[in-house]
Amino acid sequence: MSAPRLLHPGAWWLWAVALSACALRTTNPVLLCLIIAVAGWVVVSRRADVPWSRSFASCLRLGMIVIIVRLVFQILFGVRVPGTTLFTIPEVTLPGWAAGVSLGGPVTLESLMAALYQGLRLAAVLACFGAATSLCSPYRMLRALPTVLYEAGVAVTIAFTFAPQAIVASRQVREARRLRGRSDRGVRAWTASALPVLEGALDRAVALAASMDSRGYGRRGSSSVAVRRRSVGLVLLGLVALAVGSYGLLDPGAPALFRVPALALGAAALLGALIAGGRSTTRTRYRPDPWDAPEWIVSFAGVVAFGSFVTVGRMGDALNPSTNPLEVPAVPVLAVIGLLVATLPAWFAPRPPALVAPSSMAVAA
Amino acid sequence: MGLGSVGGLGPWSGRVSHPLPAPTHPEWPRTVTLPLSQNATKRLRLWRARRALGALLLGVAALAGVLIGSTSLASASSCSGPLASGEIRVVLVVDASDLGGGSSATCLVVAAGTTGSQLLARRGNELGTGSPRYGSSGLLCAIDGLPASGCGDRSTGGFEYWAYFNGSSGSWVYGNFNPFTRRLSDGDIEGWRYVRGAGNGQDPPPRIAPARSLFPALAPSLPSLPDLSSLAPSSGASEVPNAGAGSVVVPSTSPSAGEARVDPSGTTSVDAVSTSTTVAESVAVGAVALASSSTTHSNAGRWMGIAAVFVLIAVMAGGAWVQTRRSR
Repeated sequence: MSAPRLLHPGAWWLWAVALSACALRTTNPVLLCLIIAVAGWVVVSRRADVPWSRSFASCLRLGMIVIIVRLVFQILFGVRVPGTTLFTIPEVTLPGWAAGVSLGGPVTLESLMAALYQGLRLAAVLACFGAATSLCSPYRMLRALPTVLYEAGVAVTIAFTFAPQAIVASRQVREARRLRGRSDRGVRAWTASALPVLEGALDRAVALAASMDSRGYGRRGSSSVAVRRRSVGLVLLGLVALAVGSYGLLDPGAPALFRVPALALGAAALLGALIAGGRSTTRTRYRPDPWDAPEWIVSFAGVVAFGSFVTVGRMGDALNPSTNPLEVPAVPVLAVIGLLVATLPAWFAPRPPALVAPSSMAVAA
Repeated sequence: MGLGSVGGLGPWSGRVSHPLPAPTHPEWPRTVTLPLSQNATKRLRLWRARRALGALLLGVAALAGVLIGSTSLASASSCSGPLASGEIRVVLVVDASDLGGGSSATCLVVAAGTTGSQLLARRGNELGTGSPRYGSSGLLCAIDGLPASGCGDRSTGGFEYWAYFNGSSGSWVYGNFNPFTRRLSDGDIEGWRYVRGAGNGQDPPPRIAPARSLFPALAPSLPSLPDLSSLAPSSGASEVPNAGAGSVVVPSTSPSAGEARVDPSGTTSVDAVSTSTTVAESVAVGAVALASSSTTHSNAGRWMGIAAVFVLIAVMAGGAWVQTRRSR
C-alpha cells in the first residue's frame, strides 16, 4: 500500500466510464445490481472527506426516482405487451390516425419487468457517474489536460462540477432553513429551496471559471492567428469525432463506422491539434499528478470489466434476458468475474489523504 | 404499424401531472431538530439499515415470486362448429418462408375483442409452437421461434422484421396499427410475414392470398371434436403435442390438398408456389423442435446463480455500511 495520495482523476473517470458502458450493454437486473454494488463499494472504500464525496448517495436516490417514473410511464402509456395481466386501467380508444399509440389498458407483468430492467440500467449509469464525481476532484481533471484542450476542458469541468456543487449548495440551503426553524423536508421545503440551490450551484461554477481564468487557464501565449484557428478547428473536429465514436462504443446497435474509425479520426485530429498548438506555448506544472501503478490498475480494472461484457454479449443473449416470455435471468459467470475485477480499486488505489479525520491518519501512519 | 408493433407514447405527448405527492400539511410545525445523543444516533442508523435491508429482501422475494408463477390458460372451440355468443372466427396467416419455416393459415375461434397479439399467442398455443417472442420495447421478434435470435435487425438494404398485414378487405393492407391494441372482429384475416424490406408499406405481403375460402365452411352438425384445451399443454411447451390425437385436416386451397402444413426440413418452401396453404384446425405439429420449447429445466441453476450474486451484493453492502460507520 502506497502512501496516501489522490489518484489521478483520469484513472477514476476511465474506470467509471468503462463500468457505465458495461451497464449500457445489459438489461440483466442481476448484473445491474452488481454494477451498482461494485461502484458503491469502491466509493465507500476510497472517497476523500470532501463535500462532493456525498454525491454518490444523491445519485442513488435519483436512480430510484428514475425507476419509479419509468414504471409509472409504462403503466400509463407503455406498449400493451401481452402476458400475465396484473391489473387493468381504463383504456382510451384513440382515433385511427393514432392507432400505434396506446393509452391505458391491461398492465402486464412482462411490460412492468421490461420497464424495471430499463430503469435499473439508467440507475446503474447514474451510480457510475456518481461514483466518478465523488471519487475525484473535478478541478484536478482539468490540470491534467494538455494546453490546446483547455477551452473544452473548462466547459466540461463546469458542466461536471454543476451536479456536485448543487449537492453542496442544497446541503447549505437546508442547513440554513433548519437554523431558521423551518422544516427541511417535504414538498414545500423542496420547492422553496430549489431556486437558491440552482442559483448557488451556477454561481459556484461561474466563480470556478473566473478563478481558473485569473490563474491563466486557457491562455495561449504568443501564437499566431492562423495557428490558433487551425488548432481550434482540429480540436472541434476531434471532439465531435470522439463523441460519435464513444456513442458507437456505448450503443451496440450503432453502425460499425461510428466505432473504431470515428475514435481513430478523433484521436488523430486531437493529436494534430496538440502538435500544432502545443509547440508555441510552454507551460510548467506545479506538482503534476503522477500516473503510476495504481492508476494503471484502476483503469485496467475498468477495461477488463468492459471486455468481459463485450465477450459475453458476443456469446449469447445472457446480457439481455427475455421479458416476453418472461424468463429467469441467467447470470453469466464471465461478466460477474469482470465486475469483481472492477472492485480491485477498493484495495489497490491509494487511500486519499485525510484532511481532518484523526482516525485514518493513524491507519495511514 | 411500421415495424410490427412499436407503440406507446412518449412522456412528451400527453399532459401528465408530476408524480410527486401533494403536500400533506399546509404549514409544517416549526420545530428545530435537536442533535440526538450518540447512542440514539447509533440506534437510528441501525434501524435505518434494517429497514433498507428489509425492503431489499422484500423486493427480491417479490421478484422471485412473480418470475416463478406465470402460466396462461386458453379455452378453444372448433372453427367449423357452431359459435357460442361472444365468439368470433379469425384467420391468421403466418409466412415465414424467408426463414425456411413455410407459410400457414390457421382458423381460430376467439372471444370478441381479442387483440392481434393475443391471437398470435393463441395460435402458438394451439399449434404447440410456443409463444411469440417480443423485445423489451414491445417489438415482435419471433413467431414459432423464428428467427431464433435477433429482433428487427438492420441488414443490408433495410430491416428484417415481422411485418403486420390486414386482409379483411380481400387484399393485404400493410398494417399501420398496434397489435396490442387492435381489436379483431368476426371474419378478420390477419397476416404476418417475415420480410427483408424498408420497413414501410412497400414491403411484400404474405404469399397466401386473403380469400374467404380460408375459412372452413360452418358445419353445425359436425360430431363433437375433442376439446383442444385438453390437448394444448397448459404450462409453456415443454412437451411435444401428440401428432395423432384429434388432429383434423380440413380441405385446403393449395395444389397439395389435404397435406398438413410445415416441412420440418425447412429447405424446400422458399418458392411461393410450393408453399402449402392449408387451413389447419388444430393441426398438431409433431416432432417440430422449436427453439423456445425448453425453458424450465435450467431454472434451478439460474436461481442458484442469482442467489450467489445477491449474497455477493449483500456482503458488499454490509461492508460498505460498516466502513461508513467506522469513518464517522
